[in-house]
Amino acid sequence: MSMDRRDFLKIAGISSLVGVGGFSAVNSIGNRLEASQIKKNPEALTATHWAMVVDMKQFRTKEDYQVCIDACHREHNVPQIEDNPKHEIKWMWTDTYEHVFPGNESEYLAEKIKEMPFLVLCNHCENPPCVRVCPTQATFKRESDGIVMMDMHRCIGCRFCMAGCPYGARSFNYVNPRPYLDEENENPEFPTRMKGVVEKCTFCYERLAKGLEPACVEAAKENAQKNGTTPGLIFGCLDDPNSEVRKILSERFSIRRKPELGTGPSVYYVL
Amino acid sequence: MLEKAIYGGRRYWVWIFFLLGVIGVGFLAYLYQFKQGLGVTGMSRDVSWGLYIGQFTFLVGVAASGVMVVLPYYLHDYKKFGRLTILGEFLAIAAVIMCMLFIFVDLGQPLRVLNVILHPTPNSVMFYDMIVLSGYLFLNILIGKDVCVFVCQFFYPPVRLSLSHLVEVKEMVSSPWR
Amino acid sequence: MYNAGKIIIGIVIFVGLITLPFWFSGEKATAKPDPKLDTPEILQLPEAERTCVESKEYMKREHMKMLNEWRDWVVRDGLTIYVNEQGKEYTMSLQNTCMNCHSNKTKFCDECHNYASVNPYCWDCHIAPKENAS
Repeated sequence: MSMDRRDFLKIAGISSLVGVGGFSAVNSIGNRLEASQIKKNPEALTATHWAMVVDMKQFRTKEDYQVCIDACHREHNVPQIEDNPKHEIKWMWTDTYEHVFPGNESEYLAEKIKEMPFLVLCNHCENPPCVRVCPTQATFKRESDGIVMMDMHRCIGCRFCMAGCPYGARSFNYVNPRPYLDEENENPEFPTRMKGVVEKCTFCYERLAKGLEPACVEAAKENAQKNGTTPGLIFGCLDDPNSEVRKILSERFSIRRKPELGTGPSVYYVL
Repeated sequence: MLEKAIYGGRRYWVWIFFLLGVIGVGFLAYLYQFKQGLGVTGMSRDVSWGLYIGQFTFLVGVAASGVMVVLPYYLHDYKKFGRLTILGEFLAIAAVIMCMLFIFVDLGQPLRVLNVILHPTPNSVMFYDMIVLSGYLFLNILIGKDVCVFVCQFFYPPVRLSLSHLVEVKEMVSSPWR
Repeated sequence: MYNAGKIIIGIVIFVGLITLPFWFSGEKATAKPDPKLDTPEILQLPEAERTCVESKEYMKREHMKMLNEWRDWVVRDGLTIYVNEQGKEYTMSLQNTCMNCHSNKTKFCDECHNYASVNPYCWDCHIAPKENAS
């Protein structure tokens, strides 16, 4: 071959560009389903900025928390991995003031607050660091309603989002979760996950699409009805001035987790 | 590059086959991890990046050092580094291949690794990781092949001219790693 | 032929390795796939309503692409209703819509998948409907 290296590189580059470009052009022209055939469910709950307020005053007993956590984990087939706590998966859990609001604690803080288990979950930040670092956009911020979503089909399991989340809200499936699921109690309408993908709270996007509230919010409401109190979890749209979340935020003092980081969390805590 | 690697005596080949055996054992260990999931590594929900990523960051530096060794010879015409350039090239290629393999074994779903290219995300550093490391590997192989051609052909002028051009390109690509 | 012994042994090993997939699939490779449509849910519907989301030929050809597009529309775009070519509306969900009627995964989905030796990873996550061991 008398061709020199530069010519070879030029020809190789151009032919691969043409090849890839041609392939994707043919693919996109081919048999595509029409976009006009797709619709949103008319019953779906919509908002421009979903947010949640955790009213700590309403959480008095351990059962009040456990009801919400169990509802979430049951609804989404979250496995209970007991034999190795390193591999645990949790979408919603409780933690102490020192861990939830680090930097704020002091020696003379009220004992009650020091020991109060705060309910924590993914904060669905306005400026999410996990979305910024995901190399495949498997986790993305849905523009329509601000939920930070998780696409399990695309996740490559690099765990960069876990490293990026300042709140530790994400869990990775280090092992196959299926053996740890309770067969009788699993929810047949929601898939499980397989090993090697990251998962987290998704504000129950699939329930919102059917017109239902998130599982934890519904469980808190039922629990409150049973005990004759007001629900501890309030869910609504932050952009709607008449929503419940705006009402409670305008009446009481609220804090968010680690505001100095600039992530803009959408979960508010009202004490 | 390849020509240099297959010339050696009996001791050389015994050593090479021993190293290939080590690679084989590592490969079988990876197959076990592929089947069981990343839980076998001992990483946890709180410590989600361990030795794999640590080794990756170390070796990326080693790979970049290949540039350091090649620079004086080509850019600054300091011919005394001539005997080190070939070693530098081999080291850079081995280190960059190990880098990419460390990322590959660290993934929970390695078969989906091409999603990074199918769905490019310019605001993610890991996307640039993949592009830059692949580019670096490609350029190193290209140049490494030519280093041997260069040495063997005793300063044949057209080869020497195109070589220095390629070294410049390689530096531009690898400058973030310096 | 030079080195005839080594070459012939090499060819035999090569042929053995190349045909390895056929050794492993065995009986599954030769039996014609026979997907069964007689699930209790389908039999409950009157004859006229026993149609899938799209026509049989379309589904045979395109169900993979369609499921991929459904996946992206539901998860990434938040759209859940699909209107087929006849104007009927369906909720886009493998577990809840498709498997509602085709509740016999081992006698329906697996038939053709085993024959073609493809292993879609849907069922690693999506819960397959419970079948009675019959």
